[in-house]
Amino acid sequence: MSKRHIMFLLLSLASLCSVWLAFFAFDSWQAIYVVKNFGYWLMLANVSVVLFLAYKRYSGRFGRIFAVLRQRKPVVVFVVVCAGILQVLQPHGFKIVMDEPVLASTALRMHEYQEVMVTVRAHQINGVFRQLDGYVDKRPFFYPFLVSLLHDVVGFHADNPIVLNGLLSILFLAILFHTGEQCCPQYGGYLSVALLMTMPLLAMSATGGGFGILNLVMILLVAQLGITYLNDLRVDSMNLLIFMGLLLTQTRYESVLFVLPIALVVLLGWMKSKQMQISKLTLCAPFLMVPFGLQRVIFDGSALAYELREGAAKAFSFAYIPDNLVHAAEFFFNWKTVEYANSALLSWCFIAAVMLLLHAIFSRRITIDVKQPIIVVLLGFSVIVIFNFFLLMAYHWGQLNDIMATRIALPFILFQSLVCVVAVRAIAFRLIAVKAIFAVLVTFFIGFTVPSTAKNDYLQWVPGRHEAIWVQQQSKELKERNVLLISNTHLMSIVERVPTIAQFWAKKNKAKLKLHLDMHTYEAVYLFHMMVADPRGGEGMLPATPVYRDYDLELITESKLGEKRFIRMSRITDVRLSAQEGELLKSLKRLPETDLERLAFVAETLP
Amino acid sequence: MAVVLLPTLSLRRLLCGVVGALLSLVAYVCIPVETAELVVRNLGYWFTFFAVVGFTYYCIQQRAIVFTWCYRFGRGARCCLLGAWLVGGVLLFAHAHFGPKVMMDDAILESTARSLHEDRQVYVSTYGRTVENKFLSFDGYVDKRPWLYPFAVSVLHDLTGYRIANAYATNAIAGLLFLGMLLVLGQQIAGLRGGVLLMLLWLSIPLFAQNATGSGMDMVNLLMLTVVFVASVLYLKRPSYESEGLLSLAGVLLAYSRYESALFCVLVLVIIVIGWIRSRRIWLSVGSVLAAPLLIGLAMQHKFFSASQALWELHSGTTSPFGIEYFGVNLSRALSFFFNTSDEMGNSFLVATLGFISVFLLLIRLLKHSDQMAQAQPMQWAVGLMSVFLFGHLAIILCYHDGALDRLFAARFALPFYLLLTCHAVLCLQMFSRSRTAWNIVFAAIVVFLCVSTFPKNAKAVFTHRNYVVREQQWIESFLQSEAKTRALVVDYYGVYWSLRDVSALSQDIVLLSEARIAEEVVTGKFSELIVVDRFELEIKQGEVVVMPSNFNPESFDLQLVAEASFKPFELTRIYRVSNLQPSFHGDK
Repeated sequence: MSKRHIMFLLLSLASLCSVWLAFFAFDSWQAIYVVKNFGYWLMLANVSVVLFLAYKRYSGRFGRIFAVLRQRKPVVVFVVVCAGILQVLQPHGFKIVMDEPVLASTALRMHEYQEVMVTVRAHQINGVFRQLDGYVDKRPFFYPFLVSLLHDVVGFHADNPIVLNGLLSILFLAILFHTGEQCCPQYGGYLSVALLMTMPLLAMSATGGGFGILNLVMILLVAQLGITYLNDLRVDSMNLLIFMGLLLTQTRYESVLFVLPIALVVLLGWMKSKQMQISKLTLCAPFLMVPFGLQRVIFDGSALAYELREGAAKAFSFAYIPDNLVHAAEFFFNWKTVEYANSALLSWCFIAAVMLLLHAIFSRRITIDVKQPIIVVLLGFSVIVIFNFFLLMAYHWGQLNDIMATRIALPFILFQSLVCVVAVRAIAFRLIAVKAIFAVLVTFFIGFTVPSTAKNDYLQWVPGRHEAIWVQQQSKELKERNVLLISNTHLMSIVERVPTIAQFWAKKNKAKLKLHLDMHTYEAVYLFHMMVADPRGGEGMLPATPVYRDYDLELITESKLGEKRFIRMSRITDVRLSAQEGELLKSLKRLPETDLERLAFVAETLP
Repeated sequence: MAVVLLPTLSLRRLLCGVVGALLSLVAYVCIPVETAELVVRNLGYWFTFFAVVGFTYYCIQQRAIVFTWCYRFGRGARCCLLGAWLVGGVLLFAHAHFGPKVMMDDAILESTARSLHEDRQVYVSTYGRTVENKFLSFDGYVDKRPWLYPFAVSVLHDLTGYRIANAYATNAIAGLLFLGMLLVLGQQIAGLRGGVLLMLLWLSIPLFAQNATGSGMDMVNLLMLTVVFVASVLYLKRPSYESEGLLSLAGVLLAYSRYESALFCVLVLVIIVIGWIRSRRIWLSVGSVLAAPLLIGLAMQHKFFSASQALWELHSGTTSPFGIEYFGVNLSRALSFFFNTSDEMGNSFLVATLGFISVFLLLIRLLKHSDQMAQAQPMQWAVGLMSVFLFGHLAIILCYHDGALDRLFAARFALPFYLLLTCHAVLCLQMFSRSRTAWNIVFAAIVVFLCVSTFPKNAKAVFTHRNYVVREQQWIESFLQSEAKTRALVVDYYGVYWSLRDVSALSQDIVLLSEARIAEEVVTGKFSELIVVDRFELEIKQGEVVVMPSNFNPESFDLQLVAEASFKPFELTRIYRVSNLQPSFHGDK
């Protein structure tokens, strides 16, 4: 048995072993422990390997890269200006408050504790902000990891996730330009970027705190590495492709499927080089997939993980596809309303491009040479993007005209723009036609995209967003003070590094809350609560949760959110305890003696 | 040797040197304690002033060496050094919590800086009052702390006007300069990569960032230590009047930067003599001749400091400030500090591990090649001698009654020893590594360590925020700014802190003694109102949280509670307004 055969055997063994570790070795609770405590370190190892390989592979080329950038100043200016425009089209801040604060909270936990966990309870103990309880989230954590690194390097700022997306959008447009140019040498770069610029969704993602932009960057980067590997067939290039691919799988849920085209590219590479290129580093790769599997184990163990909407029995079903396709068509081809972050021009261009390409293929005006690395890679990646699109269509929450789902279509929109570029090359338009296309794009951008983005942020119907943003603003203002916040949108305060607990938790721990109110552990305890219309039809408004039964409150400030819908911030002046809670309070009150005991007492009894 | 050296000595310079040394000795022996205090108060500024002027003069004289050093590198290497310095600066301040770190020390130093700026006096104001729109000091004392840092702050006040932030700006600038000196020093030890490595090793120590963002004297002390280090190398490489003068005056300034740094004057002396022997010539520059008289200020301060038992701040039960009996306990606590892995302390586990291993390896190598010591390079001489004195410095700290490094307020004493650990790590790597791999591994380890240990520690800053007095004072200050009338009298015992902020403050004891007079002064309009800060113990009695009574019960004051908060478990701070005392305005109803 040759060394290569042994290596292949070991790789198979490592793959089997990692599958066992990922899906069968641990139950849900054990998986939580492993992901929480080791997830960060595995991610760090993965990123370190990528940096090491990239340095090894490209360290000699840094000079050349700078020389190329100097030579192509117009391109650099074009990309930077486009990225700048993306930043001014939409307001900065969290967009989808169900996802983005969760990612930001995970990043904060990774930054301070190297744990993959969403903090839901934080206190100030002896002057130090301490993140206490939390849960392991279902979301892949490459994006939070990058945010945590940014926190490490520039210090904690609540806006760092948004800054990161701003930086990533420059990188994304640059790689998109490069890929577009590969698809259509003369104009492809400009065209691909210009087409995507007409899509308000891109600006929305580039100014938010989600992982959509990173996903796009990673897809294009991995595709580029696939092309590089098939061109040079070096082991280092292959390893870089694999390890970067592993990071892609940790970027978005459905991006794990890109493992398939990566595997295909590696196999093709082996066939081309007529040898199995397996290094010691390659043998480690399967183990880095383990956290992804473990997160699925945790995910499947939680009934709430898929966030099933009312009436939905299953998360995925073929039955959802027709209805979702109608919604998708309404989104993609919408001309009339500016409430969708779509680009009808891009969608129509895509349809036209597909028709032209099909016609050209069937009329044999063009042939697809599957031996060319770029074609193999882009085809492989396109298949997954299309598959993911239909997966989204089969998802119970896959209505693209719902902003909560729209952003999931970003890779498909990227695919649309590249297809258009390929069509331009295939049809070999004359220069005048290409100029006309650019003129139409610019006109559309000025006539539709800019007014659309100016008029709205596409988020007015997102449930709970205004409430969450108001809570975040108040938290920001209270940041420098020693206060405890209680709210239902507690993550918005935690990501500002303000001590916060959830309203249900405070209610559950009223005795402890009373104790610390009496001990003045905090300068003040503020409660955020909603006032809503009386469901019995009365004229006044009632608290959405029975806060007046539990606390004596002094109103500090309030804001109107909608018709008969207010949010209030009130200071808790006293806590009303039941007899049972009163007993519990008495049991908490023992007198510690030394400073250390006193500190431990405070830490233990905090609500 | 004497036969060779003595003919090269200038008699005039020798005479001046001897007179200077004698003058210092006579001053120390003959001047009484009270006069010593007066000398420090009124002349202290000028000792440091002339030392700084001399030091600057020699720096300018030596500028050609700096330029030569810079131009030795190519453009790429210079950009690399500059880039490393900038990145280091960003990383140093990325998690900055600018604010006092050791409450009383920092406030006293800031107060001394203010007096140096306004009156050219080494003086700490404990009470002051605004008279005719000018805040004047009415009470204070001459402090025991050496005043190079206050002097530096006062220079910044001179240049930009008085503001408290200047104390932090001075340390931030010192931190940046220190990073630059590390690059130079590391480059001298092991080339460019040595400079970057030394800087990264220091960035991995949270204590460094903590001191660079505070208003203590340790940052300037560290800076001066590296200046002396670099000046020693410079002198041993190229002995001259200028390099010797630079080294002597750097030593003088170092002595003025922290109490125990006077020890390094001996190091400077030893290095100067070794330089004479190596170059077979006695230089005796003007700087060296003036060094002894310039230290008179420090000697005077030591005189009245050692005469007063109270200034040593001895703990209860402690009879002497220094003693060999403290060594054992302090050593074990120092080791527990250096190798701590929790986020409670500002140590660097990585530096301690690499450093102690390096010290051990270098010691073995030294013993093995002790016969070749005479052929050692100037850099090796400097590192070796500096190491001996840094070990001596640590020994002194460990013999100090308050030298337990794992204590929040004592951890900063470890900073000079970190210089030894880091320099040894770089030197060891330079001497023992055969390939680039070892360097790359160490670089990768430091970068990972920075991300997973140092930055999170800096972000949480447990070792900073644990200081509840700082939080309490900042809370009181924000209350006074928003709620109190200007020119109110505050009853609080942190008089120095308030005096710095142009707030009149008296302690509770003094207010109780002169209750009637103060009441009258408020009524007659000397103060706009009376704000009382009081601290209470909390207890739990029969299931209820009870505030224990205070000792401060003035009969003629009606105390109206206006704010309360707890900064330490089971302790409550309350702010009262004296409601029955207000300036009397005729005609008001």
